[in-house]
Amino acid sequence: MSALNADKNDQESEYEALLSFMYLSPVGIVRSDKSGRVDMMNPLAAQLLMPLVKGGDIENIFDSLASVAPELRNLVASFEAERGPVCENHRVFVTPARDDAVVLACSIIKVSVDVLMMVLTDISRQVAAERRARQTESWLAGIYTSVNDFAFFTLDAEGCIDSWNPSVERLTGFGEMEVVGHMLSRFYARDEIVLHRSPEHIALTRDEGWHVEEFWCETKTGRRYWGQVLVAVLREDDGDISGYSVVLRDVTERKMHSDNLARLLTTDHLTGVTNRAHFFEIAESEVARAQRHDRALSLVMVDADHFKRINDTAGHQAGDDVLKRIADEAKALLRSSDTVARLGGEEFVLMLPSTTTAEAMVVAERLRVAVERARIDTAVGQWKATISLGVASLGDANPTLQDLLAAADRALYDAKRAGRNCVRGGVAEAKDVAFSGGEEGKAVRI
Amino acid sequence: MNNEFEAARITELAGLDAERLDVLPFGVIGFTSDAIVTLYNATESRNAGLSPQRVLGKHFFEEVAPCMNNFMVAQRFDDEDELDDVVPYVLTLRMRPTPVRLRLLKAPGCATRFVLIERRATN
Repeated sequence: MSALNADKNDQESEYEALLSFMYLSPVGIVRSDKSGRVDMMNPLAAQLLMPLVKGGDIENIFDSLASVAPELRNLVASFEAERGPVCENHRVFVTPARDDAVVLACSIIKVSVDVLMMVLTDISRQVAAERRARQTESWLAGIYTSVNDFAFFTLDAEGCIDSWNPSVERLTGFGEMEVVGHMLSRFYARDEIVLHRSPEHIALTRDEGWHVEEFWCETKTGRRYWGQVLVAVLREDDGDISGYSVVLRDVTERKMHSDNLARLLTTDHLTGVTNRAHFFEIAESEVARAQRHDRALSLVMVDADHFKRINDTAGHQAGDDVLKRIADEAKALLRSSDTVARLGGEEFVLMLPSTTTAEAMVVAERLRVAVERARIDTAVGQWKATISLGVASLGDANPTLQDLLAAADRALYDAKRAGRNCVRGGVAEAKDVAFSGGEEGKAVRI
Repeated sequence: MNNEFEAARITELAGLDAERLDVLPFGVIGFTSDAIVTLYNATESRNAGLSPQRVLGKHFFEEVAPCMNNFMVAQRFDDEDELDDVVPYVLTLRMRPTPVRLRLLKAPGCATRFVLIERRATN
């Protein structure tokens, strides 16, 4: 009797010890069926997932992660083997914030036909460290390798070149009289001359102490080279900025090598547009730039309508063809300063600098029509697709990238609710533009 | 019972002895300003499958309920001087995702902070 009781107590306390072990597991663990319906999960998984779900329900793991990693459902659906690793440390960018971005690593193992085990880890700190290491590395790589030549000179407190030496002429071909008193833009290639850029180097340098930027330059005789400029603050004893020192270097060779690598790291493999991670990086600086110069900036959130239906009836291959076509239509419509990015799954975003809400509504409507008219060739015949679009612009109501993304998302949701295949968003007066968007030329973007 | 979950005042809870806390139909966890658990009622013990001995004296957010160690719960106890709010949440009681309502309670005059946990009816 007593032995039996002891066993029972042992079992109970063992059970409790196991529970406690799972409660304190430092990684999130989730078990679900193949459709994502959650069966069991541990507290850390809830800690990581709760901030992502609206209304506080985690019934389906794919739904819970849909806003940040819509591709997971497709990854699992297209994994045909009966069991095996579906993805390992797949990175999920939860927030776009530059310095303290929240990034999760997600691994999914298919245990059997209808059982998935998922491990979620918060790797935000690791990603931040990698980012710092990458910056340092690229800067060091820039110093030590493939420098064709360099020039050193100084700027006054207003950013005008105030000193010259033979290294400047050797690299750029310009003599003293031709550069002193000019801004850094003196060295830009003709097609790179954007008036705000030179003061912007200076503003960023003032904020951070130093700043590196790269762009196409041109020598006096017209030879193009990829220039890297490092600007550093020179200070008086009392801490006031007295001017800047500048190192300008010809790094053309390195540029040729790194272009390929950069393309791999920054584009979405399926559609060739900007990928999610890179979008957040450039969007942060675009928002900062728009605010600094008090310029408009609009986002258009784009989502393929009934995409699941396309995947289910025509297959994933056809679904991919639809996504590629949407990306192509967007690329064909945009200016070189605009960005189209795939945020995940069937969701895209257009980032339109110097574009007001009304103008962005027109662009959105054009894209809507272009996709609606497209006949998309797939392996299973021609398909038609439509998209819903939500527009939002930087402003008092949306002062940060996160606000802007959320506002565009809400507008997209409005478009979905209004029956799909339409554009919503912006301010009240922009609505008229949306409805007449099919007529060309009412609002002209420059 | 619902009324009690939403109406119970922090000063009343702090004044109840262990037996009175144990018969409440919702989970009650009380902890100090440095998050050390001082109260853990029978309802919560039963739901979570943990005996009070395993929980009392432990750090609530680090050692007992890491699932609440985020800006939705733990951060609010840090940030707000006074707190009385009900939030829908999902707990992983015995690793089963369980929809609950959490009531977060903190008052300037009261040394003990409370998280009350009520299971939501699932449909």
